[in-house]
Amino acid sequence: MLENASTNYDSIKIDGANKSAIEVCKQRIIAVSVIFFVVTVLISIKLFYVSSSGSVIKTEIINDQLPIVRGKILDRNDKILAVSLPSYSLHMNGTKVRKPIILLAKLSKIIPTIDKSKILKKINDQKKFIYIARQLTPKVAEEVHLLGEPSLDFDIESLRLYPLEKETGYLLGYMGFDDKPHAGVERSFDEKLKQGKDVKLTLDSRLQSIVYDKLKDGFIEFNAKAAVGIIMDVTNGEILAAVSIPDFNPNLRSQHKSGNSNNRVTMSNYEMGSIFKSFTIASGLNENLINLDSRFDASKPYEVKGKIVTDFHPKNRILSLKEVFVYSSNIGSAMIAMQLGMEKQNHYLIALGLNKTIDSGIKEINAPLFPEVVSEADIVSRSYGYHISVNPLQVIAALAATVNGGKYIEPFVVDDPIYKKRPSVQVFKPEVSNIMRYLYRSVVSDGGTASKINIKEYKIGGKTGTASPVENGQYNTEKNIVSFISFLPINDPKYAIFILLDNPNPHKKPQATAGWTAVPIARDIVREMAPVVGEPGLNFNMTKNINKEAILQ
Amino acid sequence: MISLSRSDNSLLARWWWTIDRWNLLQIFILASIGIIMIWAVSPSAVDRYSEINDSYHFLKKHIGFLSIGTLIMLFLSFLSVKGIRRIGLLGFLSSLVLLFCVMFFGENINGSTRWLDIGFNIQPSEFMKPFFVIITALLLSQKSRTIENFPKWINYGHLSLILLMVVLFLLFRQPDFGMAVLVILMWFGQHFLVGLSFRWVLALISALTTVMLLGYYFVDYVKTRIDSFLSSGNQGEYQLSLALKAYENGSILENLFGKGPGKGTIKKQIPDAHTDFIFPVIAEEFGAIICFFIIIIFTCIIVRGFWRVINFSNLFQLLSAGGLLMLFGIQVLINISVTLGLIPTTGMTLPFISYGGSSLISTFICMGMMLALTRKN
Repeated sequence: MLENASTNYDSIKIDGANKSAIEVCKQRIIAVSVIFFVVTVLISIKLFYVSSSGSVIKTEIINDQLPIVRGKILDRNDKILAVSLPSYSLHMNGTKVRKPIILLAKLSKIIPTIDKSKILKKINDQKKFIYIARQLTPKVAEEVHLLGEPSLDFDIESLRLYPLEKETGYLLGYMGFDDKPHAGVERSFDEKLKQGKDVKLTLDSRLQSIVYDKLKDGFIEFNAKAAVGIIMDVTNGEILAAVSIPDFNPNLRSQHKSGNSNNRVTMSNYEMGSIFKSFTIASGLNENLINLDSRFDASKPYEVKGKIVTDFHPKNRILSLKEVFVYSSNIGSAMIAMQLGMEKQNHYLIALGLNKTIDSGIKEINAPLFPEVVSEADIVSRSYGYHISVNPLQVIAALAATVNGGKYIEPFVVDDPIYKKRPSVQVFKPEVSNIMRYLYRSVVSDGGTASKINIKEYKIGGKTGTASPVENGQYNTEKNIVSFISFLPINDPKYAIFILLDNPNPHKKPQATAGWTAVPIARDIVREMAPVVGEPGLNFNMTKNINKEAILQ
Repeated sequence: MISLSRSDNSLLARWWWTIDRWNLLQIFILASIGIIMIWAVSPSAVDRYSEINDSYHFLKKHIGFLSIGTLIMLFLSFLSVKGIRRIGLLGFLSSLVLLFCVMFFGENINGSTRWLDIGFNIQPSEFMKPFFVIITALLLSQKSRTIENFPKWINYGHLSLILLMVVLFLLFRQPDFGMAVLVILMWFGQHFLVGLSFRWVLALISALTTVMLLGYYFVDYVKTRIDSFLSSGNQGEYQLSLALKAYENGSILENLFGKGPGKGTIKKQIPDAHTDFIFPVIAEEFGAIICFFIIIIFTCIIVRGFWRVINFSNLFQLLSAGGLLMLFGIQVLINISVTLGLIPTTGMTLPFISYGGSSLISTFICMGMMLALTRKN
C-alpha cells in the first residue's frame, strides 16, 4: 500500500520536491562517507598507536610495581646470605568458581602441594576468600594467571630467602608474616635494608658452614644441651663465624618461634671457668707481679678467708707459672688474684669489656652478670671464672686481647664504619701477648688439657674451661659448661676459635670436660678452615716469636 | 557461474550480473576470517561455561549461523526494491511482536531481559535493527505526506517518530542502552540523509546526551560503565587493560603477525573474547596488521556501497541502502572504539567476525538487503 503512494498521489506536484530531496540525499550520503572515512582513519591511527609497543602506557596484568625490594645481606665475599624475591599469594573467591573440579585439577598441576579436598569443601561452602597458596614464585604465579580463571586473584608478597638456612639462622634473624624483621641483622639493620640497600657482614660464609657442621656433629656426639662456636679475627674484632645450636631454619615459618630468644652467642650468661685464668695471668704479667719464673705452692689446698681452693688435677707440689696454666691450677690462679687485689682485677675485667653489653650489630644480647666483689673469696672465684657470667661473644673478644698485642677490640658482625672505626683499648703491654702465646701453646703441646688439638700441620695454642652451672642458686656439679679458646697460628694469632658446650653428656667418652669434647670440635674446625683461609701451617717457626729466653733475657 | 552470459535472462544470471560482486566477495572474506578467529577463541571460551564440554562448541555453532545467515543474505539479495519494502515491513512487524514477547517472556541474563527462548535463545532487537532502517527509509521517503484516515497534521514523518518511540520504549524496558543509542543514531542518520537541518543535528546531540544522562542516573550498569570509563581514563576497566595488552602483544613493530594462531593468552582472560572483544584477540594472535586489513575491508564494503547507492534516483533506495550501510559502519566503528578504549563498553559485536547467532544473522539480513538495494537496474 505504501509503495503505491509515490505513484498514485500528486505525483507531479511532488516530483520537483522529490528531485531536490534526492540531490540533497546524495550530497548527504557523500558527507556521511567522508565522516565515516575520517573516523575510520582516526581509529586506525589509535590502533597503530596502541599496537606499537612502548607507545602505550604499560598495563601489567599482574601488577609488578613492587615496593622497594628489601636489600640483600651479604657475607664478606659478597656471597648472598639473605635475599628478597617477589612472590605472590593466591586466593580464590569460592562464589565465582564455575567448574571447581576442573579448576582444581589444573591448579594442582601447577601447584602440586595444594589440598584439593579442603579447597573443594570451602568452594562448596561458598567461601568468598580462600587461600590457595602463599609465596609463589613469579613464574608459577604467571602460569596460574594464564588459566584466566576469574575467581582467582593474587596479592604481592615478598619472599625472604636465606640460602645458608640453619647455618645463619640466628645471626640474620628472619622476616615474619607481617613483613617485619624479627631478630638478628634483619632487625638491627632494618632501616638500611628497607631502603633497598644491601648490608655486608664481616662473616665468612665458608667458615660459618665449617663451624656449623663441626659444632653440630659435636653437639650430637656429645649429647649436649646447647653449643656455641665463634671465629673472630683477633687483629680487628671482625666476627667470621658465629653459630648457636639448637638452630632453626629461617626459611621455614613454622620454626620461627624458636628463632627469637635462643641465640646463645649473645643471649646467654655463662660462668666460663678456667678460661678466665688467662685474664688473671695476663693481668699479673702486665702488673709485673709475676713472670715465667714465678713459683706457686700447690702442694696443699689454698685457704682464703674460710674459702678452701683445690685443684681439679692436683699435682700436690710447687708449680711454675706455665704449669699453673697448663694444669689449670685454681690454687695458682687464686694466689695471683690475691696479689692483684680487687681493684686491679676489676680494672682489667672492665677494660676487657666483661661488665658491659657489647654492641656487635646483634640486638638480642644479654647483659653480663657482674656482681660486686664483697669478699676475698669473690676475688679468688673470679680468678678462675666464677662469680661473673658473660656471653661467648664478649669472652672471645676479651681473650683476643691476651694474644693480639694487648688491644681490646669490641667485636662486630656488620661491615660498617660505625663498628670499624671504634677505637681499640690497649689493655696489656705487647710483651704480655708473647708470654700468653707461649702459655697457650704449652696447654696444647705439653700434655695439657688441650692436647687433642696438638696436630702436626698447624701450631695452635689454647685454653680449656670447665665450670658447673648454677641451678636453683647452687652449683650443680653433675653438669658442666665446657669451653675452649684456641688461636691460629699461635706465633702470630689471626684467628680465635671459641667453642662452648652446655652440659655435654657423652655416651662413650669417659669425661664431659672440655678436653674431651670442645677441643676435638675445635681441632676438626681448624683442619677444615686452615686451607680455606690459606693459613700456611707448615711454615710455622716456633722459635721466632715464642722464645722463652728472649722474653726472660 | 562463469557459464552465465550477460545475455542470459534467467533469474540467476540477472542476479549475477546486477549484484555487487566485489562486496559479496568481501563479505565472504570477512566471514572466513571470522571462522578462523572463532576457531582460535572457541576452546578458551568453552572453559568459561561449565555446561559445555566440546572445545569447538562455539566454532560449530558459528559455522551453523554463518551458513544460515549466508542463505538468508543470498535470498534477500535476489529481492527487488519492492520486495525489500515488503520484507522490511513484514520483518519489522514480526520483530516488534517478538520484542513485546521479550517484555513478558524474556530470558533474564546478566540483569537485562533481551532474549527469547524458543528452543534456543534469540535476541529480537538484533533482527529489528535492519528492518527498522527499511521502515524508517520508507516513511522518510514519504515524509511530508499525510496518511489516509488520519488527522491532517499527522504525516509519515510523525509516524516514523512514533515508531522510534515505541522501539526505544521496548529497548529501555530490557534495558539495552547500546542498542537504543544505535537506533537513535540510525534514525537521525537517515533524517540527516533526507535533509535534516543543522538545528536538528544539534537536537540529536542533545537528545543523545539526555539519553546518556538518564541512563547514567537511573540505570546502574550504565553508570558503572561510564564511571569506570571516566575515572581512570581508558585504562580503567579490567577488560580494557587486557584488550590494550593484546594489541600490544600483536605489535606491528615487534610481532608483525602476532603470537601465532591459538597462541594468544589474553583470550583466556577477557570474558567476551569470542564476542565483543574479538578484535584485540585477532591483534594478539594474527598481528595488528590483520586488524588493519579487516578495517580496510569494512571500509571498502561501506564506501563501495555508498558509491553504488548514489547512482540511484529512488529516494527510498537511497535512504534504505544508505541507512543499512550506516548501521553496518557504526557497529564496526563502535565495536573497535570500545576495544581501543575510546568509548565506554556498549556490548556491540563486530559484524561477521564476533560469535553470536542473532547479531550474525542480523548482519547477514542487513547486507542481504543492502546487496538487493544496490543491484544495478
